[in-house]
Amino acid sequence: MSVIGQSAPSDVADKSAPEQVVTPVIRRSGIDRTFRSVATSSGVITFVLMGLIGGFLLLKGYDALKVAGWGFLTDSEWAPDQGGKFGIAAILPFTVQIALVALVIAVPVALCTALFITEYAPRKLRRLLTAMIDLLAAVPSLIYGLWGLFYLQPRLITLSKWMANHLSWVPFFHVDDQYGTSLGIFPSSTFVAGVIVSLMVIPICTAVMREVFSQAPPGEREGAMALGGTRWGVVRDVVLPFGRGGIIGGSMLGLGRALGETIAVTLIISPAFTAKWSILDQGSNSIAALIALKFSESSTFGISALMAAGLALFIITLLVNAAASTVVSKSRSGSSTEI
Amino acid sequence: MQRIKKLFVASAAFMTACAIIAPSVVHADSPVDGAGSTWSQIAVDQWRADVARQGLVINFQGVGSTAGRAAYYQGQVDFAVSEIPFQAALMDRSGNVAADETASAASRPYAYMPIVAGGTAFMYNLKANGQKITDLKLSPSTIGKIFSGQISMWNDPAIIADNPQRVMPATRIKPVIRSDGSGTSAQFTAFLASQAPDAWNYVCQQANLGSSCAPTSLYPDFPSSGFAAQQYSDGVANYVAAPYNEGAITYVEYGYAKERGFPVASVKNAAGAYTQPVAINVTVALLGARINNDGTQVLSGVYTNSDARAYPVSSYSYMIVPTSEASPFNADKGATLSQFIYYFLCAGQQKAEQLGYAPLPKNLVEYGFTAVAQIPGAIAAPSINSCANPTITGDFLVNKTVGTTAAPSSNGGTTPAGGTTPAGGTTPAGGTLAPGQTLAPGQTLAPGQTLAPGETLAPGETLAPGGTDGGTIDAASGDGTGQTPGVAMATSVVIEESGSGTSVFVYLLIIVAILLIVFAPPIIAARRRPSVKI
Repeated sequence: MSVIGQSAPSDVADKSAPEQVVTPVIRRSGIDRTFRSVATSSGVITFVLMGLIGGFLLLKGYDALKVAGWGFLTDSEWAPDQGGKFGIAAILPFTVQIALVALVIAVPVALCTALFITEYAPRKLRRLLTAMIDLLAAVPSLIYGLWGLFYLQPRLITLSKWMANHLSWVPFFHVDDQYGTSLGIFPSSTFVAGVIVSLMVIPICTAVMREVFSQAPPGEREGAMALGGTRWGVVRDVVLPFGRGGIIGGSMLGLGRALGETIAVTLIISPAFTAKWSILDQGSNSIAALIALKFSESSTFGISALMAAGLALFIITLLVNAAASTVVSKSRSGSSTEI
Repeated sequence: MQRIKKLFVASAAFMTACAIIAPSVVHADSPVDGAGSTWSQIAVDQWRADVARQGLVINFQGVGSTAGRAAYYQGQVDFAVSEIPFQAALMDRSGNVAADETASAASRPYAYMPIVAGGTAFMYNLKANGQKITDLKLSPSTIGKIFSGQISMWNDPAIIADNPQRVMPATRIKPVIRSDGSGTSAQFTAFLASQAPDAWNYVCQQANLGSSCAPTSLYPDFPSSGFAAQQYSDGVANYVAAPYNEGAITYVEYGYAKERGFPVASVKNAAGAYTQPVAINVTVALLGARINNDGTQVLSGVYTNSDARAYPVSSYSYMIVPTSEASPFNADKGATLSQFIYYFLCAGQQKAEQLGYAPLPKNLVEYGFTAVAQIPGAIAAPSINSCANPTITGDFLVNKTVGTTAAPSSNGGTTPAGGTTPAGGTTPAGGTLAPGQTLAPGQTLAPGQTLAPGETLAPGETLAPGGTDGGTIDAASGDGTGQTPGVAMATSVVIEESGSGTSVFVYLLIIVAILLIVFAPPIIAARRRPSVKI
């Protein structure tokens, strides 16, 4: 923010008459000024884009929001084009459920992977692993989605069934036995979608966490070792406390991607419009998937409703990131991982 | 170094090859733009590729029917393709008009005309005693009950009544619907609303849409249904075909079931016969199509066509063409567009069957011609008799015999197409067989036909309506075709892979390509660099 505040007036000042300047006079050559303005405008674009997207969603979604009123937050059906009710009361919880399932799996795995890479892996393996993680982060989500759909889904449902049968005392894993626990009720569930999303989140989380862990101060590290600390002791008392910001930052980056993941979720889920706790059985939803599924056959009003849903997702993502960045900025490694 | 050189040479060669293969761009004065239905896109893309060779440039974007109609009234495209006509005013919950396509479209006069015809098949995955059931028969009212969740077991009396020939298993019915907006949903819900109104109204009520609702491209979601919903025709077909989804049934284009070796239900028509959704049966059914004054379709005559061959769940999609020179249209474009239309209504329809659709019958072609006449700048229509449409040249209806039931050859090659191996359990609908008689798959009996005891059909032999065995059904095309050899349902439709990202193979290719793009550069780079320190 400060960049804008300073640069805009100073550019004007260059052209205008000399003025009283308290700060030392900085002579700027033409090329310096050019680069400065290019860099500044690039920085400003971020804010402009953010504002434009938010404004656009609000503008487009306004028609629908006006009609739905507060019902947009409390209704769970989605039938704007048939003159019915529409709201995100079910879709939003499903979106969050999928993201949480993804994070519950991704964060521990990413944390351990990052620790292994920075602390335990031999140098050669470290190089290879780092490269592989970066590559995985670059694989398009469509690929994860297709692989998840054709390979993982048919295999994962066996696990779903086992969990439904043996862990049903966990509220999330309880499956309503109305139709019996045949394998057929498991494939299009929140759980399967969440697992596949977790696979795309893991590389991102790992990359961020590894970067931060590798910056843990060598002095403290060596000091802990010199005091007779074990490798685990070093990790526990030096690396993890130092990397707290990175852990949170990586997780939040992953959460952002998980909330907005579209293709993989769209391929897997069977859209449901009634919120439920159980994550193993058929029926799930997500705002991004809803937009992808309904967009092509929606009237202008239906599209307005979808834009309103998009706005909700946009706001939630912003809130989550804002909350995370305050936590991160208070940690030691915060400066390196601001999100 | 040698390797890099080789790579470079190879990629250069590839580029050159691409450049040579790429079609030379034909310059045309007035290209015509269209947008709309993804359901019709396969056919439209084929046809516009065909006419491109004659210098006609037709652009088409498969953005979905509704988006296509919007693009039309917003003046972004010259024509639209849609499964449903412009929709009347839509009221929101407070009683205001939320959207009114008809009013929006009034500023740009238009005409509807038929473009692509096809049937909606019911693909299912059902086993009895470990054997795949391939001869399921359903009546329209039973279909309505299934897709409204009113019946939930395969041994429901309604289904047993349609299938007296076998014992239905006590498996739960799992209807699978489309989660995305789709022309298939539009055509199927139009059929339901007309032929199973009780069931359709039940769906509307369950979804809180009032006591009844209009057919829609978005199948209504209702919470208690227990339906599964999947994206794309490919998605629903894969879902039904999954081994763990026994009991699943979906509505999808016939080709997707065939591709996976799965049977589709025979649907009962007004003549009481159970027919398969093959092209000929769809075309025959569409002979019953009527057109309103405003050009919209009246399909009740199709759904209740009394021809024994008719497949009831048949429909066609619209092309919406401009009838004024309102921007962006003009007379030059009209000339291009009219030539394109004459092509696809006539010669283009020869490809319909290959592409997974059915050719438009003569009545609809004639109607298309009258619609073209309203397009500004349209060139004169050819004489209807010079139209190379297979239903007009006579290639289509005469040379093929018609089945009332057929079991697709889906169980491991024991029942090859053409019916050389008699298979037990295949019984014709409507026709009667003495005990002990069997018909091979692909052999067919018209309703009312009877085989005398002891009489058997030779492999490949077909009893055509009006054929040899004392059949009583009168069919216009049945004359002299009693012994048409080798004609059977299982061979009468050759479906090419079609649809949005149809085959697993294509997916795999894409994956391999992308993996190469991702992994090849770093691996090559790593080999080129002697040592890298991190």
